[in-house]
Amino acid sequence: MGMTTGEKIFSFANYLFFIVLMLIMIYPFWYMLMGSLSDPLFIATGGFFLTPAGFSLSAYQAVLSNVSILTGFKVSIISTIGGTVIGTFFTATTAYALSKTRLRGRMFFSFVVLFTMLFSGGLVPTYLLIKELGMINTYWALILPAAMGAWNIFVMQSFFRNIPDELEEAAKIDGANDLTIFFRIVLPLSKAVLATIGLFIAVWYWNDFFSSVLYMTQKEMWQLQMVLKDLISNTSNAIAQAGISISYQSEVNEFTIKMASIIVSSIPILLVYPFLQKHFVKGALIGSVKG
Amino acid sequence: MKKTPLVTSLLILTLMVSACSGNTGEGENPGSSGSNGRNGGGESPLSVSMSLMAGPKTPNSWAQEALEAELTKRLGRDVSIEPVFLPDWSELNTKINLLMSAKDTRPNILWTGETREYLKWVDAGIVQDVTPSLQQYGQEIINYYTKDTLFYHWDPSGKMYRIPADVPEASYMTTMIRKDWLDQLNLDVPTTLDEYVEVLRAFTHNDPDGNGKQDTYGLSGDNYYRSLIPFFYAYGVDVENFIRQDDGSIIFGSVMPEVKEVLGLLQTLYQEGVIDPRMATSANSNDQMVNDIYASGKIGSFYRFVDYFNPGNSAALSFKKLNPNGEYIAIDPVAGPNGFASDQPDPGIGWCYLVITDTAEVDSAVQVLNTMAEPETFKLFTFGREGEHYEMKDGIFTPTITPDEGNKLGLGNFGWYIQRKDAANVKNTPEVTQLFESKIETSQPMRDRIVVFKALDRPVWDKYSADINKERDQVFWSIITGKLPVSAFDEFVAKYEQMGGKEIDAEAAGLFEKQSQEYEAYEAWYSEHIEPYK
Repeated sequence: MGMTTGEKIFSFANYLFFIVLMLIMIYPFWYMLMGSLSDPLFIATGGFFLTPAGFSLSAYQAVLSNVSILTGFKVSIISTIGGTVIGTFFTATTAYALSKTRLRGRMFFSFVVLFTMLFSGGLVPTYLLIKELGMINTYWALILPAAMGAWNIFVMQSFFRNIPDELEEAAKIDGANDLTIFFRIVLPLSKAVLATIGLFIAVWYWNDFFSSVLYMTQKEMWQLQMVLKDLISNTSNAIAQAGISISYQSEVNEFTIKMASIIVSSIPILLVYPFLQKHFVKGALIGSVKG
Repeated sequence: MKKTPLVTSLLILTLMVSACSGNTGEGENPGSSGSNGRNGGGESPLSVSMSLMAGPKTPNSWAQEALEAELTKRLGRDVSIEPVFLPDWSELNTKINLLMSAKDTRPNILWTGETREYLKWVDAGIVQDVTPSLQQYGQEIINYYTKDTLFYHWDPSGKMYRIPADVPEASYMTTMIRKDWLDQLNLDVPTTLDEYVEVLRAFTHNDPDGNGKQDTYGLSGDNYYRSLIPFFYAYGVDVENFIRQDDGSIIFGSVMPEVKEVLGLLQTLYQEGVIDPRMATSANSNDQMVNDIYASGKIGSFYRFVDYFNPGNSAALSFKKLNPNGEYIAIDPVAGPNGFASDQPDPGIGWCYLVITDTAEVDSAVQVLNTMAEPETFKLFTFGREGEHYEMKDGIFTPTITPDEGNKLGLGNFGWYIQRKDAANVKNTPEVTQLFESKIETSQPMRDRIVVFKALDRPVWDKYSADINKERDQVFWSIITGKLPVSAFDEFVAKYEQMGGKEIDAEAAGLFEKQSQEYEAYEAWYSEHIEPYK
C-alpha cells in the first residue's frame, strides 16, 4: 500500500517547492534580524548574510534607549487595544442591524456606510473637525476616526446573514429581546468573524502612523510607528543636510537601526497571530461561500 | 415589530458615536496658545510655541530648560517654550499645512522649508513682517547673515516675512584624496585636471593598497553631479544651474558645449575602470551607501563633505577603524585646460527658514530668535555646557557624554534655528573651520558664474524641468557608462529645445533681468533699513 514512484516524486517535489517558498518568505525577516544584530562597522562591507556580521546590540540599545520609543509603545498599545475593542464592537452592532431586513431605512443606512467607502471629507476638513471636537493630542483622535470601516461592516454583515433566523425566533419565543439575542446568541456564534475583523483592525492600528502626523503636536502622543519613522528618517537627513550630523548619532549605523526598528515594532503584533490563528483561518473564508 | 425601533436606535447611536464622540477637550495644541509678550519685552511672562524638526526631538528636555533659563535671564521676563515637534520628512509639509490652516494651531514661530505655500501665507496675512523688529532687537541675526543671503528672503514690497534658518557654509564640499596612496605611489598632489586624472588612473591600476589585487577605484561618490564636480567645474560648467556667459547672457549649464568634452573624458575613465560603477546607480544617491563605500577604504578620491575631516564624523570614524593607516586630505580644486578652478559654492539662500505667524507678537519672537542666534546661547542648546557635557582639548570638541545621553538631553532639538556655521560651531576642529573659510575663496569663481534665482514662482521651469532633467540624467549617465556615444550629447541639446528649453531660457532671461533690477532696489532698502542697525 506504499506510494508509487510517481507519487513519491510528486510528494518530494511538493515538499521541496514549499520549503523553497517558505525560505523565500522567511529570508527577508531573517535578514532583518541578522542585520539588526550585526556590528555597524562590518555592515559597511555590505552583501547578503545568514549570520550577523560581527555581533552587536548597539542598534537595539539605540532604539530602546530612545525615550520616545517607550512612550510610542504605550500610545500604540492603548490605541490598538482601545481601537480594536471599540472598532470591533461598533462594527458588529452596525453589521448586525444592517443584516436584518426588518430594519427600517436599511437601504439608506447601508448607503450611508457605503458612501464612506467611496468618498471622504478630505484631509483638512477632517482635521478641522477633529480639532473642533477637541480631540487633538488625545487618544480619541487616534482611535475614533478609523474605528469603523465600511469594508469590515460588510464582511460582518455577510456573516450575520448566514446565522439561521430560526435561532433568533426560538430565542424570542423564550422571551429574549434584541440585545439579549445579540450578546448571548449572535456574538458567541461569531467568534471567527470577530477574531478576523478584530485582527484586521488591530493590525491597522498597530501600523498606523498617519493619525499621529495629523492630530498630534506633542511627541508624547506619537504612536510607535511614527517615532520609528522619525528616528530613521531624521538620522539620514541630518547627515544629508550639508553633511552635518547634528543629532549626535555619530556611531550608529542607519541600516542596523532600521533593521532593529522593524524587528522591535513587528514582534508585538506577530505575537498576537498564533492565538488568533485558529479563528483567523476560518474567518478569512467568511463570505467566500454562501451556505 | 416593537423591536425594530430599538435596533434602529442602536444603529443611529452607533453611527453618531463613531462620527463624533470622545470629545474630552483636553490637550490643546501648545501652538495655539499664542505669544502673549508685549512690545519690546517687559515683565509679563512669555510663552512661545515653535515648530521643531532637528535633532532627537526629546520632549521636556534639558536643552529646553537651559534655553528657557537663558531666555528668561536675557529678556528679563519668564520665558517658556512650547515645542511642536514636526513629523518625519515625508509627512512634513502635510503637517505644516494643517498647523497653518487654523489660527489656534499655528505655532508662534514656524520652522519650514516649504516654499509653495509661503506665498499664500503672505497673501493671507498670516505671517508677519519682521523688519522693524529686526532693526530693534535682531542685531545678531542681521550681523550673521550676509546681504546676499537676506536678499532671497526680502519681499519687493519692502518687507521681510521670513528669516533664514540654516544657511550652509559658503562651500561645504571639497576634493579629497588618499594621501597614503599618493605617498605609496610617489605621486604629487594634483593641481590640474590632467594631473588629477593621472593620479586616479594610478590609484586604480597600480595597486595603491599593496594587497596584490585590482580592487581599488580612483573615484567614487553618489549618483549626483556634485560627485563629478572636479571634472565639470574645471571647465566652468554646472549642469544643474544657469551659467553667466562672457557676453552677459545666461545659458542652462546642461547644454553648454564644454559638457560634451567632460562627458567624453568621464566615459574614457569609466571604461578604464577608474570610476566606481556604483556611482552610475541610483542606489548610490543614498548617503549611507556612499559613507559605507568611503569607509571601505578602496577609493582614491571623492568630492565630498568638508565635515568628513572632523574626527567625530561617522564616515570618518568608520574609515579610520577599518583603515588605521589610511588618510584623506582635502586639496584645492584642480584647474582645467584654461586654468579655471573652483569648488562648489552654496547658493547662500538657506534650505529652511522661520516665519513669525499672526499668533505671535513679533518683537518678542525676534528677541527670542536673536538670543538663540548668539554664539554662547547657540553653543549651550546645541552642544550642552562646557565642562559638563563637553570639553575643548586643544581646540578640539570632545564630548564627555555618550550620543545617547546627548539625545536624552535634547541636544540638537533646536537645530536649524539660525544654525551658526562659524566658529560657534565648536564641533568643527580649528582645521576644519579654516578649511571652510578657505572654501569661500576657492568657490568664488563658480559663485560668480552661477545664477541663483530668487523667484519662487517659475511656472515654465516647473512645467518642463522634470522631463528635461530626467532626459539629461539618462543621456549623461548613458554616455558616461558607454551605453551611448558622446555624440548623443548633441542630440540632447537639440531635444532640449523641443522639450521646452527655449521657453525656459526666455523665462530665465526675464527673471534674471527682473532680479537684477530688484537687487538694485534691495540694495537701497538694505542701506536704509538694515545697515544702520547692525
